Amino acid sequence: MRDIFIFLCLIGMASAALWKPWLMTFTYLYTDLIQPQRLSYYLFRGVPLSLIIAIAAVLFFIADRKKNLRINIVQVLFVLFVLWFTFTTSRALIPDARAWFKWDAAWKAVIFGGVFLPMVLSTRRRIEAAVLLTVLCVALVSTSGAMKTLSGGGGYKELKMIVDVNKGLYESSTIGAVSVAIIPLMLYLFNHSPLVGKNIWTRIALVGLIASSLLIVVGTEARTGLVCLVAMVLMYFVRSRSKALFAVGIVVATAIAIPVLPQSFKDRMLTIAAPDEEISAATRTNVWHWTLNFVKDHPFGGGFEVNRITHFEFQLPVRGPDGTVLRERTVVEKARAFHSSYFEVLAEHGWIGLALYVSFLGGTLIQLGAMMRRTARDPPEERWRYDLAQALFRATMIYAVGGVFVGLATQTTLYMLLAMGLATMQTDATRREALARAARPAWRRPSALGTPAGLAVGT
Amino acid sequence: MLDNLALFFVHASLGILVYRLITRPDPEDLASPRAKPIDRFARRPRG
Repeated sequence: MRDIFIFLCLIGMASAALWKPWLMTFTYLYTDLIQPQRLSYYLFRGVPLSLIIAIAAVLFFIADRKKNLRINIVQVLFVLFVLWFTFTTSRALIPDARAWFKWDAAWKAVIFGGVFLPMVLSTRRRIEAAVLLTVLCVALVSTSGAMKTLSGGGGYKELKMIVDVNKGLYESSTIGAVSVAIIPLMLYLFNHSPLVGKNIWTRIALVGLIASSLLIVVGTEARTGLVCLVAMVLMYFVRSRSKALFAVGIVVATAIAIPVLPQSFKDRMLTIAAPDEEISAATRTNVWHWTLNFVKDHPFGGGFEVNRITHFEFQLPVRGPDGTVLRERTVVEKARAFHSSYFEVLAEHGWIGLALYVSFLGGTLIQLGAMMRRTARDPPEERWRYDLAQALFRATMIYAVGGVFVGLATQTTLYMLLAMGLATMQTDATRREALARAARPAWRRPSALGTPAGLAVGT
Repeated sequence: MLDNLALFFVHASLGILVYRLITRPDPEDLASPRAKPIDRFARRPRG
């Protein structure tokens, strides 16, 4: 039954591309985020669904009359990043199929998300639709997890998401970070998007989805989620007009939440302050230390899946019931994940890979910040540009902070967020060009037929 | 049960979104000098 339901949804979405060709890209984003083949019991198992729809999306893109063919410097960095990690994979220390398997997923995420998507998202409507799609896809996992958390099914490595797979959005730390990152996007959609509108139903949905995003952090007991939450609150605090009131609100909310939170969640969050006391946090800091030593000998990195050669040992204190250290035990760890996007890129693709990664992440944030400064004094009917840039800036920033503690470097959601940021900046650049053209004397203006479609002002 | 509930609501929302994307013309299409006459007379978006 579930298979047939998903099949009909997928067919319906793909058929919509017959009316609006860009909706095939929309369908691809859905397929890449949700991964229906994982939700399916039998129908899509083993079917290369993403590949088929990606090819269709490129073909439909050719028929699209409103392509955005501007190229941002960040898109050039994406291409360089792909070329660089292809080089590092070709000389990977573990030259087997698994390294190329990760490479295969990574280049598709970067090229399709980072380079292709901004070309399709050429209008405000399209950008908002892509933002809403991202929110809904994340909501599928977060609402399912949140409902199970409420019914007592939460806990570290205990909470079963909609699919029992530890990949993509279905991985607990990833969904913890992403579900917090989309909160600013939800608020933007509710406040500005004509696609959503403001009514009682969307208000209920907004409250429900924000509650789900918070509950999933509790349910997964992912420390990354809490770190992202703190980063988000800090960003809202910095921009709030009434800081004292905001601070009081946060203190009151925290005071109310703490007694209600499960003890296991509180115990796990306390390990953030003492990472050498708990095995998971201690492993994380030790694998980072291993990475720094590794790149001294391998400045170009070890290629994808190099984490499989990690091997280190460390001492962990064993405490008695009163908290005193009874003894230290030796922990030996092998083939551990890096638990950080930055250390993951550093170990796999060396200093050049890390420089490229930080450059496109920082480049997008800097450009979004510049757009916010440019549009801050826009009239109210144009206010959405500022708010969209700000929401995407916050979402990317939360994602970047979350990336310190979880390997998100090749996740599709990152490149989708960056692509939406680039598309927003490019539609703004098109508008500014049109305004500059309109300000020129009549004899210097190009003919109306040569005017790009994106010059329209307002909604 | 809870999974199927989430699955239904999210896909129902996606269905409404796709329907709106097809039936409501993109305002930037309407403003474009290349817009077809039929688009110019299409229903304006609400909200």
